Amino acid sequence: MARLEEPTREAQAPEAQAIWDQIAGTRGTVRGPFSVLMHAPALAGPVAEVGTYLRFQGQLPGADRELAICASAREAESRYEWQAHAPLALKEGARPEAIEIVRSRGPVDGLTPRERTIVEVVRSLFRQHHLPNALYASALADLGRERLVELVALAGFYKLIGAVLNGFEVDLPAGAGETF
Amino acid sequence: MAGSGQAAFGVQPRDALQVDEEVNVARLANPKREDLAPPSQEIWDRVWASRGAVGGPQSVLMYVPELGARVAELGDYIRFHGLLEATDRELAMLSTAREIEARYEWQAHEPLALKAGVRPEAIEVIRSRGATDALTARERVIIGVVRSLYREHRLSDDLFKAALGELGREKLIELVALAGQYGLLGFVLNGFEVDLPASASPTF
Repeated sequence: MARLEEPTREAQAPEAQAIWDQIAGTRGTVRGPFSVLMHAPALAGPVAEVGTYLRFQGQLPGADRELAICASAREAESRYEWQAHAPLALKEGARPEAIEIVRSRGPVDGLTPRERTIVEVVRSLFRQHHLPNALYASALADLGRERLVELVALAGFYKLIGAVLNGFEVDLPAGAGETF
Repeated sequence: MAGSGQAAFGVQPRDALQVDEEVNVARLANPKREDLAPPSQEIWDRVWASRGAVGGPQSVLMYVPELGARVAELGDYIRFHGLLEATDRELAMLSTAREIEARYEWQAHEPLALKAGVRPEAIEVIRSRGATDALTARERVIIGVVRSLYREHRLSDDLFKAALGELGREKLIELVALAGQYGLLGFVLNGFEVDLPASASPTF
């Protein structure tokens, strides 16, 4: 049982309905973190705008982006995020083996250099709150400056989303796949 | 990190001399307005207008101006237009900075917290990661929510109930999102080793 009731579009003020429609327009429906955030519509709008950039307009290739989202979801223990993005990661071409290493918090030895960069940057930010010099250097070489900035911001953004999902105990949809 | 590392990473500070003379070298050079394309200069001007500077996390995020603009918009809401009282907000920012070890955030917000009226005793409990028993119920709720989101990635039923009773629904949503937003900014600051200003006081 989620801690807040599902908001409805009809119950919103006209300005909030416009925010609702923007979110539904990019994401199909208002659900998950936005089922919480739409109780504070003036906040929901700018949160959604950051997410829209990172998910739909950013420079990271889809497989990198979704692997990074899965790694962030795993570190933030956000099961809702995981069940929403693990299928998207597969669809974007992330390797099932890489997703399983992220899910099981396994060693990165079995990953390609690119996957390793993505997963280690996210893990390091969550676990050590910094990036060691060697990891920073290899990530910069692998991704370039702009994509590395995006990756770091993405990890932080999915911490925000995970905090909202877990803080308000948003339910996993019926039929959600296995998480962790 | 040592200044000599910059070249090894392929980052050429456009104002290397100036940066070197200031303090320890950050991983990226501070961007300059005149180096940006006109649409990005508009973003720069908006960030400048709300904050009086393009510094700290925004100096990194300006390498991806559209992302910087949107993160700044969210920050504007939380800092300048949100429902949380200034004392609650600044207390929550310091708690987040402490949890993720973001020294830049700490030194930027500690003076703002004091100015907003946050009690020095509460700030010291956060800085030292001490027990919250001696704090007010309100301070305990704010610090407890942030710590729990970072340490356990959830809120226990008792804490959620206390926080909802103390803050109400919308302010509690803001508090949770604020903890996330300052986590994002802290990742940017620490990930790119943004320097503390030379005049910064000791943090933790």
